[in-house]
This record gives sequence, C-alpha cells and structure tokens, in this order.
Amino acid sequence: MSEPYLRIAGLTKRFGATTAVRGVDLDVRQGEMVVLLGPSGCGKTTTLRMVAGFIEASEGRILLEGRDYAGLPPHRREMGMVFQSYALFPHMTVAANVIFGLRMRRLPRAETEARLAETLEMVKLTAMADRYPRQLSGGQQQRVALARALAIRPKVLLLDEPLSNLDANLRQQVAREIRGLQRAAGLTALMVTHDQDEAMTMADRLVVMNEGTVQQVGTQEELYERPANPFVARFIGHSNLIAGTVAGDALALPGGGALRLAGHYAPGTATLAIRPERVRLAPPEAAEARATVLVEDATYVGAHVEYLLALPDGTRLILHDPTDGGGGRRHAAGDRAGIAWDLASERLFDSAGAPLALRTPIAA
Amino acid sequence: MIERASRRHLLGLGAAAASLPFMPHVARAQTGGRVVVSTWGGDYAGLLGSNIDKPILGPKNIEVTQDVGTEPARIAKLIAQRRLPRGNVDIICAQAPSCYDLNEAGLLEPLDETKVPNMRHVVPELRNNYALPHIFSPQVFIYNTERVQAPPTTFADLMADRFKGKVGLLDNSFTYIVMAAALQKTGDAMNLQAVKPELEKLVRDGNKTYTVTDAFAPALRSGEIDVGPVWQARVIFWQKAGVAVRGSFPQEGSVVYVSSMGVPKNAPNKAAAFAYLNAMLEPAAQRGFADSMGYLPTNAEATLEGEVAQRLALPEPRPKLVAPDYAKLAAARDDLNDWWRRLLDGR
Amino acid sequence: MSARPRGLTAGLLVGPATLLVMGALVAPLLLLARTSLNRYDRTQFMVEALTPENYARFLVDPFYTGVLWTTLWIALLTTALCLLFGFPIAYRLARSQSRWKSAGVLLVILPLFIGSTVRALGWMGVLGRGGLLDSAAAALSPGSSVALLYTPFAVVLGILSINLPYMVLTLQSVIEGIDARVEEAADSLGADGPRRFLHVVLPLALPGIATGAVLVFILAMNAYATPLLLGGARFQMMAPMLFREYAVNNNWPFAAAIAFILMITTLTLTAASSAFVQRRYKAA
Repeated sequence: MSEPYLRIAGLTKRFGATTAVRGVDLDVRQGEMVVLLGPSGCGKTTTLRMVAGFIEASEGRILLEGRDYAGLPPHRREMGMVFQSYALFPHMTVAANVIFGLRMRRLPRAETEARLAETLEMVKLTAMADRYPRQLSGGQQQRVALARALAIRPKVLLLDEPLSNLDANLRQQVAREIRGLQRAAGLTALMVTHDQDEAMTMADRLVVMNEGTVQQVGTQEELYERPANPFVARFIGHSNLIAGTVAGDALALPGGGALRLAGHYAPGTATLAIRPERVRLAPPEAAEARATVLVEDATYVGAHVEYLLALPDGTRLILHDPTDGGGGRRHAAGDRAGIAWDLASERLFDSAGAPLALRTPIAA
Repeated sequence: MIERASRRHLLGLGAAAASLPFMPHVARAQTGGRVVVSTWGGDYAGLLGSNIDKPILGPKNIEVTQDVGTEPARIAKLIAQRRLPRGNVDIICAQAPSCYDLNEAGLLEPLDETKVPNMRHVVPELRNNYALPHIFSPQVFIYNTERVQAPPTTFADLMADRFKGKVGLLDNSFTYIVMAAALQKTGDAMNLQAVKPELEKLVRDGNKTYTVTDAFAPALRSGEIDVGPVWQARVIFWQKAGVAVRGSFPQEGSVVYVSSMGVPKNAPNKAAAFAYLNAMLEPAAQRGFADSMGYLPTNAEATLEGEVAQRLALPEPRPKLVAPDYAKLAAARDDLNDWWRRLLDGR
Repeated sequence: MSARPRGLTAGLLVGPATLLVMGALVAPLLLLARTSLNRYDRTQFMVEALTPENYARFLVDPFYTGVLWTTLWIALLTTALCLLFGFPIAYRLARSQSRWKSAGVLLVILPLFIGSTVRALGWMGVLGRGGLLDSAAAALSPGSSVALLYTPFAVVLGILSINLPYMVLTLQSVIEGIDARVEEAADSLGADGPRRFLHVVLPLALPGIATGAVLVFILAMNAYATPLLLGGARFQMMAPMLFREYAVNNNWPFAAAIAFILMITTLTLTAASSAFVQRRYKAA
C-alpha cells in the first residue's frame, strides 16, 4: 500500500491541565474528503486548526506528501481554509478577496486574471466580482470563501463547519455544490462538522470523535452497520442502548425480565445496541418475538410511526414502524406487543465498550 | 498655653468692647447673617476658619461660607459679575497687585476706620484705602546651608560668578525679582526698566527658572540650584520640612509680598464684610497665620512671642521693607511680561 | 395617524439634547469668539470692540507663532509615538485569551485615575536632578548626572504617558471588532506577518487609528499641566501661554484669540486627516 497523502499521527493538544485532543491518528488519501464528526468540544476543530497551523500541536506529527509540517507557519502550508464565519476581507471586493492568495504568491497578472475568472465561474459569482461582502447574501458569501480558498489551488482544503451559517433549506444544495467542486478538482479535503446528515452527505470517510479521541474511522456504512462502540452506535443514526447481563441466549435486564438474543455471546455484563428502524412489531406469542413490551406512546411522523415501548423492567426502547402507505398506528398506548429483530441488526458491547464477538447464531 | 489662650480671649473681648460705643444695636443687627469669602483653598482657607470664622465671627452670629478657588479664577468671576447690582462675594482674598487692579477697575468698596476700626493698627507702609493687607512676607535669599558658606547679602551677589548657573528664579513672582534687582541697582524698586540688562544676563547665564514654587525645594536639595530670591515664609516652610536652607536679607532692603482682602462694591452683606476685615486684623487671628504659615502680621499691634517670634525675627539692624508701588507696577506689567516671556524663550 | 405622534416624540427627545448642546457648547464658543474681538484695557480689563488686533498680534509675531509650532510638533510627535507604542499593546490585549487580560486592561486604565498634575509631579521625581534616573546614573558612574527635567524630551514623555491609555483603549476596542478569523484567513492564504498587518489589520483598524490619533492629538495640543511642570518656564506651549494671558495678565480678549487659533489649528488638522482617511479607505 502506498504512503498516504496526508498522515496525522499521535496528534495531541493540551491546554494547561486539559487535553483537548489525544493521540489522533488519521490517514487521508489524495482526492479524498474526510469529515471529522462529533459533538461540540470533542476536539475536531482543534485537530483541524492544528492541521492548518493555527494551533501548535503538543505532540504528534502532521505529514503531507511525506513532509513533516511541524513548526511550519500557516502561511507556508498551502492549505485553503473555509471558515465557519467565512472570514471574508470586508474592505475588499469579491474579486480582491479571491485573488488575495494569488497576490501573496506574486503570480503574474495574466495568470491571476485567468484564475480569478475561472474560480468565479466555478462558484457562479462572475457577476458579483465588484461587490463587497456586505452586499452579498449568506450563500454568496460562502461561495466567495470557497472560491478564495480554491484559487490558491491548495494541497488540502480545510472546511470548518462550512454550512452551519446557512439556512436549512440551502444546506443540502451547498453541500452538494462543495462536494461537486472538490471532486471535480480532485482536491483532498478535511472537513469539520457536528451535523451528522451533513457529514453523511459529503464524506468519503468519516472520523467520529468524542472527548478528544477518535472513536471510529470508516465509511458511512461501516459506521452505521458496525459501530465500534456504544458512543458511535448512539451518535450515528441513534441506537437503543440496553444494558444487561448475557446469560445463555438471553440478555437479563437489571430490573428483572430478559430479552432473547439472536446470537450466542460470551456471558457477562453487556450493552445491546439496536436501531429503532431495525426493530419490528410482532404478536407477543409469535416465535420470533424476543420480548413482550408495553406500548407507552405511538406517534405518526410520516415515514414511520415512532413507538415508545417499555421493556419488562421498565427500560425504554424506541421502535420505528414504516408506514409504507397502508397502515397507520397498529397499537395504541396501553397495548401489549411483541418485538423482534434479526441477527444482523443486533450488536453487543462489553463493559469496556468493545464489540462482543458472535459465537453462533441462534435459529429463529 | 493657658496664658496665651486667656490673652487671646481678653483681646477678643477688648475688640468687641471697642466697637460697642458705636451704635451697638444697629451694628448687631447689620453684622449678623452670612458672609461669603472668596479665598484660596488648602492651609490658608483652613486657617481662616480656625482663626477668624469660628473664634471671632461665630459668637457674632456671622456664618462664613468659603468660595474656594485659584486666584485667577476667582478674580475672573468677580470681573464677570461686575455689572450685577448684587454679586455673591463679600470678601475677596487676593495678592496686593490684583487688589490694585480690581480697585482701578472700580470694583472695590473704599475702606476707612469707621468701617474697619482695626485699620488704624495696620503697618503704615502696607496701608491703602481699597484693600486691607492680611499677611505679608519679605523677599529673602534662600540658600542651601550645606553648600553655601557665605550667603548672598545683596542682589548683586546673585549675579556674581560664584553662583553662576546656581540661581533659581520663580517664574510666578518674576516681577518681584525685577523690583529687587532695581532696588539694588538704583535704590528705587520701581525703576524697572533700568535692570533689564542685568536680568537678561542672569537668565542667559544658565540659571534655572521654575514654574511652580514647589519645584524650588527639591532643586535646592539636589544641588540643581544653591540660592534664589523667595518669600521668607517659604524658607520657614521648607525649614520645617527638613530642607537644609536658610534665608538672608538683602542689605538694600526687601520687597514684600502682601496678601490682601477687599470688599467688592456689589457685595451682598457689606456690614458683615467689614466685621470680617476687622476680625482678620485682630492680633490673635494674625498670630495664627504667623504660627502656621510663617507670614508676618500686618497689624503692628500683633506682636509675636516665643519660638514663633524667633523663627520670624527680622535681623538687627531691622532690614528695610519695601512695599511695591502697585500703580507703577501695573503700568509696566504688560511690557515687563512680554519682555520676560521672550527672554525665557530664548529663540 | 402614527406619523404625527412619532414626529412629536422625536422632537421631544431631540429638543432637550439640542438645547443642552446649544447651551453647553455653542453659546460659550460664541461668547469666546465675541471676546476675542474685544480690546484689552489695563484698568477696564476689557473694552467692547470689533477688532482683529488680537489675532494679528499673534499671527505676525514669530514669538507666538513659534509657540504654536512647538505645540504642533510636540502634539504630532506624541501622537505618532502613541500609535507606535499603543498598537502592539492594544493588539496583544485585544487578541489575548488569557485570564490576565482583564488585569492588563486594568493596568492600562489605572493611570487614568490619577490626574495629569500628579503624574507630572511623579515624572519630576524621576527625571529631575537628584531624581530616580539621576541617582541611578550617579551610582553607576560617580560624578555623572542625568538632568532630563525641563527638556522637550520630558514633555514628550509626560504627554505620551498620559495619552497612551486613550490610544490603547480606542485601538483595543477596534481591533476586538476585527474577526480574528479574518487574520487567520489571510495567514492561510499565504500572507506573512508584515503583509497580513499591511493588507488586512491596518486597513480594518484604520477608523480606530484615526479616532485614537485625533483623540490624543487634541489632548496633546491642549496639554497644560505637563508642559508647565515638565517643560519648565523656558519651554512654551499654547495651553500654558493661553492660561497665563487669561489668568495672570487678565487679558481675556487675547486669551480668547489664542484659544480660537489653537482650536482652529487643531480642527483643521483633524478634519484634514479624517478626510484623508475616508478617501483613502472608503470601503473600510
């Protein structure tokens, strides 16, 4: 396997006694869009700012094309950055903003002009070249910020929450635009967001972070289907997390009662992660039923009916029942129902948060 | 202590008794009420309160209000109010030359002994009919006792080579310096034009000029200067503060600084103002200022005693004290000022 | 229906303020202007007249115009030094995230609690003969002496120390208004420190620089206690001269004329610099 284009190894940042980023490792291939995802304060922005050079790493290395970037000031890193606030130069026109990086590089006039025209064309702002940022809409300002970063033909494009200041209805569209431009230019990009949908839409691969550490790196599918720990399971697409003790083919609940599992696992304390849309309703007496539950609430939300169910010991579980045109609510509050799921949807973690290996499936 | 206090008490009673034969009831009715004294702040204002207002005017039911400010500001106020039939100041405390100016402008009430009986005790040289001298201090040569073995005894000494570059001059009393020089050179303190060449040399010889009086003591202490003409009261003040200085009187005589009080023509309560002036001249009140500030009494009857008398003692033979001719001074002042500014500027 | 009450309310709100400005600002100025055309008389102090002689006396006399020049160059120099020293301090304070920041700001504000006279007296203790510097010099090499008091240097130092906090505070608030990300953007686009300052920070801070400079320039032009105490009797600036004419010589008309000449000089330079800044950086 060839050397990665961008390699982050053991990257750590300490602010006094607190550690904001702890030993982050990440390899990024050329032309890849990697999205750092996590709740606020998880260290994703600090990681991005270390790559940009705005923050000095306490430990670890950043290698681009095999070259160590430690100690290299930001203005020599050749990384185009799009800021959350856009950070356009308010005293410069759109054109002046876009060619700022080219002026700093003392590019010949003709080439500067050509690149300006090309970049403005790319972001469809040719008509706005002489306007000032304050005369533009939020979406237009965002595109200027992007154009300014693209104009220098950066080695890596860094995007810090680029969509968070846009109206909700504009986000999807701009997300696709950015993705389109990045792919067309074959740019390597590192983006930071707290928004899961945004991350899912734009990334080739995602990095889920929490409390300064990387929880899991993978594609959308890998993260969704095979979360590495309960945090990822809950953070990506929401999961029901049910604590209990594996005993035989069942998960005994702490308050009494048990769930029948789809597979055999090593006995001991464990957490079951299962997604609401992967649980289905079944008659309580059916063979596939893994537990009998009490319906506490049923809400019709369009694509599905969301059921709030109580397990035998009172633990809550959410179930999404697709509406597929035909049925509405099949149960009302107070009903008793059975729940069922398939082996592929079931994921157990041990007390340390590591996935429990499946020994043998149990026939339904 | 007890003796002095009782003496002061007796004198106070005596003054009250002296004024009684003249229409006692009317005087009492007229002199009550409020009197507004326009004065400098600080020690001076405090001493007015403790030596005049409380002990003498309090018993007469005269309530004193002080209007405190710098002299220029207070004089400006008086000038601004000159056209008002009724002003708001009863007594103006100012230096003698300013009082002369105010009187020339027609702002001051004429004074005589029927209005202020104690006026008859005023040192004759300081007496005039528009403002009463309150305290005074002769100009002496201050010198650093550690560095100056033979103190200057005449203004000519300040020009001598031995003090070259070591003479301090106070900008705010430069007219008095001119008078002192004139007195030495011509025997007439008001022969102001005659000494310009000498003073020009004095200034150009690298002697130091100070804008504020308080800069003088540190300069004397640090050796920036060794001598300079200042008021005797200042020498006493700095001696008390522990500066190794002493004052010597010029053989040719000392020009005196006089602090005066006048009554504006539009004073709201003239009767009380006269009573105030009379109280101000009381020996007890005068001694209070000599005790604390080192100024000499303007009441010839107010003799000093004990340690204060020693500190303020004039040498024997008694030096000649020269009061400026304020009319001549006023006439020459604009020219003098212009000449002095340009001389200092040296451009 | 809503137009009239609104107009009325606006009138009621603006009315007292306008009256106050007229009464507190315009009226005294008019009075001053009128006074400057009167004639000084030794015994009458002031005689009603309409004469330009007070202005003429100042303007044709190299002594007086010399004082104006001295005042001007001192004011310009201290303003330039305020900028030079103030900008780095203001920048550090504005960009600081440290918990010591408020302590730093307090340190800048603290001198403002002490009057300029008291601070001038402090400088006298440092710069004078036998003062701090002089004693230190004498201790280091016996026989030597440093007398900086009563020099233009002392005046510049004194005014600088008084005006610097105003410049720092003005610049700090303006720099805080500049998004730090904008500087990072310039940085990521390849601008090194000097070029980032020249192309981004400076143009964006320019309105603040102009405000701060005008503020300290006006303060320096009108400085009174500092030149009087630190410059001494031989160093002349406008404010002490004006005060002497007004207070010691009782020459109100001439003092008023000096006040107007000082004010017009200050206003002209201020307006010219503002116009320059506005034209140069219209966009910012």
